[in-house]
Amino acid sequence: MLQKLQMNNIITKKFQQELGRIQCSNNMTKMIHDNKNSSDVRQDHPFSETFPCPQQSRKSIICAENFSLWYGGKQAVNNISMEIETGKVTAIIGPSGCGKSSFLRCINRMNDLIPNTRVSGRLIFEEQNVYDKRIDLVSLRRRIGMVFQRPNPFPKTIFDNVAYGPRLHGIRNKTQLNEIVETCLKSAALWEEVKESLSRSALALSGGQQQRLCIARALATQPDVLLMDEPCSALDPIATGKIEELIVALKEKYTIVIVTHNMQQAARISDQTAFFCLGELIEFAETNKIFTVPSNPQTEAYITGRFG
Amino acid sequence: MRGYFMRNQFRYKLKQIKNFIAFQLFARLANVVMLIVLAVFGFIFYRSLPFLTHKIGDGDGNTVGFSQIIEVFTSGHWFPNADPPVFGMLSLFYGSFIVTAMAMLFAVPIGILSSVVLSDIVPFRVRQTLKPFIELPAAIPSVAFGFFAIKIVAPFLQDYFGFTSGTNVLNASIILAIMAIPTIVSVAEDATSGIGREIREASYALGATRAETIIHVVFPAARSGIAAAVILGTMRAVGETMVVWMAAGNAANMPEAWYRIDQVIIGLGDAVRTMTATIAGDIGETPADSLHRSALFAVGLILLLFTFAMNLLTEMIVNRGKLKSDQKINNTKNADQNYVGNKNYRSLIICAVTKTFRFFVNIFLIISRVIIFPLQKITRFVPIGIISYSRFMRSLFDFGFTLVSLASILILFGGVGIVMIPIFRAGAEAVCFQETVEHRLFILEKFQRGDRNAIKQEFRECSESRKAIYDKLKKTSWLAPDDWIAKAAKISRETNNRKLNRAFQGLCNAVSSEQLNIAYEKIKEIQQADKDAINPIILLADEYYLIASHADLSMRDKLISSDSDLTYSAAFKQIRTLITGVEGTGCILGMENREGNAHLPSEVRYGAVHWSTAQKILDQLKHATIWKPRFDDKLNSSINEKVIVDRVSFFEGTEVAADVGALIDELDRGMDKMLHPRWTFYGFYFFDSASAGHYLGGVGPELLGTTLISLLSILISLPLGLLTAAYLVEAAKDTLITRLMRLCINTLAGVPSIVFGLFGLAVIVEFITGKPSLLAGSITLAILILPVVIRTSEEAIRAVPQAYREAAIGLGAGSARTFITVTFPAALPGILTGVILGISRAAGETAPLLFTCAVASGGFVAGSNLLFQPTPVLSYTAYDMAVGDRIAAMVPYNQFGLVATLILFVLIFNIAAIIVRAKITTKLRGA
Ligand SMILES: Nc1ncnc2c1ncn2[C@@H]1O[C@H](COP(=O)(O)OP(=O)(O)O)[C@@H](O)[C@H]1O
Ligand SMILES: [Mg+2]
Repeated sequence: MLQKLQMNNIITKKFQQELGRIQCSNNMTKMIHDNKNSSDVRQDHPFSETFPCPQQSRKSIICAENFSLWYGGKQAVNNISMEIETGKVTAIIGPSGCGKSSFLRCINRMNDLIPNTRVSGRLIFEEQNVYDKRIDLVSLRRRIGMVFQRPNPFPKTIFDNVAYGPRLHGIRNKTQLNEIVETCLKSAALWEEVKESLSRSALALSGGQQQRLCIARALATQPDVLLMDEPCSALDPIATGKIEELIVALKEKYTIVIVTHNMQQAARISDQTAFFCLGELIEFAETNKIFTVPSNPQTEAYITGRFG
Repeated sequence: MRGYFMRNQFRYKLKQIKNFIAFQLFARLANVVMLIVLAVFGFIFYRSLPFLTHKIGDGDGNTVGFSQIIEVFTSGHWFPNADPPVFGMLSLFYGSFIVTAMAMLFAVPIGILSSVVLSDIVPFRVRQTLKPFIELPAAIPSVAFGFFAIKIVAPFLQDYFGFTSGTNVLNASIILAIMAIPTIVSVAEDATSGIGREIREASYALGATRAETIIHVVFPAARSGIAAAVILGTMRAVGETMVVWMAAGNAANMPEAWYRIDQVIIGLGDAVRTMTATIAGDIGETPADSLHRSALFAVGLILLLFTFAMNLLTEMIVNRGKLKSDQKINNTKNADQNYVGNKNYRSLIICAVTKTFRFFVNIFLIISRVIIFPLQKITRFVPIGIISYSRFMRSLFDFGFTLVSLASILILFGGVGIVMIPIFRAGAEAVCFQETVEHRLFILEKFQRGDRNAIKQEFRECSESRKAIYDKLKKTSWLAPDDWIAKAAKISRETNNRKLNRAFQGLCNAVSSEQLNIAYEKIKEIQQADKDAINPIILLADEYYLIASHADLSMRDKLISSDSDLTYSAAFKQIRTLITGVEGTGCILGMENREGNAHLPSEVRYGAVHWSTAQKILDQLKHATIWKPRFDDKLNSSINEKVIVDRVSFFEGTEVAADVGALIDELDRGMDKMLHPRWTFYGFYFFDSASAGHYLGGVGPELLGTTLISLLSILISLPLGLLTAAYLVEAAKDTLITRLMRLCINTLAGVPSIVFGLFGLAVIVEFITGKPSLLAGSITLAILILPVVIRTSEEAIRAVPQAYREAAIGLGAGSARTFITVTFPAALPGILTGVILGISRAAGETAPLLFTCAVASGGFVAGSNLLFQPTPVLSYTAYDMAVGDRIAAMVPYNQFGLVATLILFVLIFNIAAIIVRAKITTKLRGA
């Protein structure tokens, strides 16, 4: 166990070095983005209210207050209040069907695509309610990237996959695009494997590579938050290991919320862990604390494998 | 114990043998499908051989010219009846091409946009309800569309867009587009919704709008399905016969400079002739063994090869991924090894055949790759971010795209609605209308329905009020004495007194009072000389003399005005015709004396049977349409213009003006007394036979014919289709044989229906039944609907859960028994859908019946040799009534009623199929 942790550390360091190298180019593209796009996801509005998070407003980026979600008549998320801190990896664990994905998909409002969904309470991202009518979905989703359970690359070339977001948001300059694609693929630790074949179809990659491509694709729009819904559940252990390393590396620059089925994974990579059960938040604390001294008996039962 | 075991083993052996036989039976029957396809190709090829091997200039024996095939592809002149005949098919190819291309120009964007409306824009539940209704119009018989094109679109184009002829490229392509859209939507939507939610979510999560997601992700991902949809739509348009035959004008034209786009655009207003329409139109006029007929078979062969190629193309596009994969190579290898390993001569032959077949397929694949390459590239390289990327512009584009897509689905439904509504509105009048006493009388006399005494009494009353009209007509009848002449001629034929007849003719033809007197004297002389008993002609002569002696006979041949070519005589004849009728037209009152004239056609004996018709004719009576020359300054010449004038004004200033005016007035005022209109529901419309040309009566024989022929064809096709489907699902794995079989089925499904007609003519009519007959038509249609039956049955059998089968096999049932006792009953509702769809498809087809079964008019088929008679069917009669028949044009409600009946017939079956499907789905869901 210890050995493994050490290994992790070494790898993380290596990544950090690499990230440091590419930092300058990254900053450049970020600058290009920023002058086009105000950091405010809400379209300017004279009466826009702001919602500072109650307790530690500076530190947390996402903040749910009594948040509930219904699919038709069925409640999937029940009255959840929690804060997700900036620059941390927050894991959401819990038995399947307990509303983890549903909650995650609310943060960037992916559930809007499902008819008959209804929410109550507030879900605040950078002081603005995500479910405010005046929120611009396009900007919101740009700032909150998402990686899905099954790798879902577009049937395009690897390059086009990564360039998809930047192109949508208006970057047409070829050299700029090249730079972004290279940076993102490097950040996603895929560059070395595909740099020779950027014009090959993304579908020709292996499952793990595809998932890293999806991460790169999500990074390309320069998000602040990365939502990951069981990103490793469709992958083999080796690919899973790579993605985990990647997540730890990405923590430097992004706030990451990851839903996972796998408790070892949560323990390995997350700083905070939330335990969901039947749509409710049972316990939310430092990962160390949850896995060593859970305060709730239900959590303990789940972690020790007695149910779930 | 041992005996028990032995017996068991014996039973086991028996079971094995039984299964083996069942399997062999399956396999043999399944092969029949392939045999049919081979036969279709073979016979069409065989019959076109004389044409293909013919050498131009061979006629005189010593000059050996070049091959016919060269002419086919180099000349645009299609003069099959010239001497020597010219068979250049370029104009036919051009006709097919331009009509299809134009149709696709409309249909493809609308179809694709509509498909994303279903898959991406409306909620899933709405999509589920809408989808069957979008597929429904694909079932509407093409003859109904052709009918619409001729009856409604063509006059519209002529009147509002100034085309000289309304049947032209534009007309045909609009209608073809309306027909092809449902096919395109259906297949394309399968593709766009088939790519799944995940990939869409990926795009939305990156901040793409809906329009961007659709254009940059959905279209590229679904491109092979969309390409297949477009190809299917194209095949539908190319293979369509009835619509282009009726709507495209049928002249083998092409612009000289067909490569110039402006010429082509100007040519859109011209008539063209497609390959299918040529076959349909020409075959009837060709002797069985003529070069011309063989040439038509060659046209069929070209169509056949074209559809086959298109099929391979679709197959290739759809299975592109699979084709590349190693799995295919492995499979084929295994299959080959199996054949060779068997050391069976037949297997070796099959192996050889399939090998050569595959060789050709490969060659074709290489060629077609060149064709589809750009097609795929287009969707792959849709430039991303064409529009400015300001947030506002992106939303605007999204909104606009959604709007356009929704509009396109409205166009889809609107197009079908525009076709259906007029047909049903006008058609409803065939059953629900204000009937006149004439209709009651007709029904009584022809079908013995109704209260005899009451109707006779009513008719007598009407006759009373008509008397004044007939009298006035008679009083003026010297203007056009031909009905006097006809009467006398009839009498003279009976009495054989030709001399008197000639004298009477002289009397009638007199154009001055002197001539009249002289002729009358002559008749009197003949009477004296004969000392006969009084001849009826003499009485006629007296009567006529009385009328004519006061009249100015010379007026008869004068023109009604200096700039008209209408004489007073002709002008009066028009009035009389509108009131009492002559053969082949409609009239208000019908003839006066009906008793002795039962032999005359009913459109003369009876007046208007619909009150609306009577009013329409009355309007024609009051207002005449004439062509008047007008000098046009711009053109600097005079052109003829249509003007509507008072008919009475024809006679202004003459001695008959008052009479004619009074006549029309009287009719105007007292028409309801003469005809006694009354609302009625004529439910027997669907069972009554009709008079010649469908002037009166119903669609009974046609409905019976259609019902019989579709039932018969499903009876023939069901067993074969079912066994083939069963074989495909149960017995066969994915071997070369099944793949070939599928190819055959797909080919069969894509063959233009007119080619089935050719096949039916060449094989069934000429070899088996000898003449067009119900049986020949049914067999032809049975082949046509075979793919429908196979596909739906296969789907149904495949849907039976594997667990059922395993349960049965686990209980020790053999595979045949499992199929019969478990799988088949479970699949029955699904198979029923296939049956229903097959029936409706068969009922709607026209082209295959043209030469194999249908007659335009005729009574009920009946009797012991029922199967060997030709029969009228709804679809063909609809065609026949739409083109050419003058009587039919007088009774639009009967034309439209017939077409509406056909559409209803087909739609009822289709809706039944939808309901059965929905039932099955709920059952499978376990509700
Ligand atoms: N689109 C949907 N429509 C209706 N119910 C849904 C939908 N998606 C999820 N659910 C329901 O919501 C609950 C939570 O689902 P989900 O968030 O996917 O759970 P988890 O990701 O924790 O396994 C489940 O009971 C599931 O059945
Ligand atoms: Mg989940």
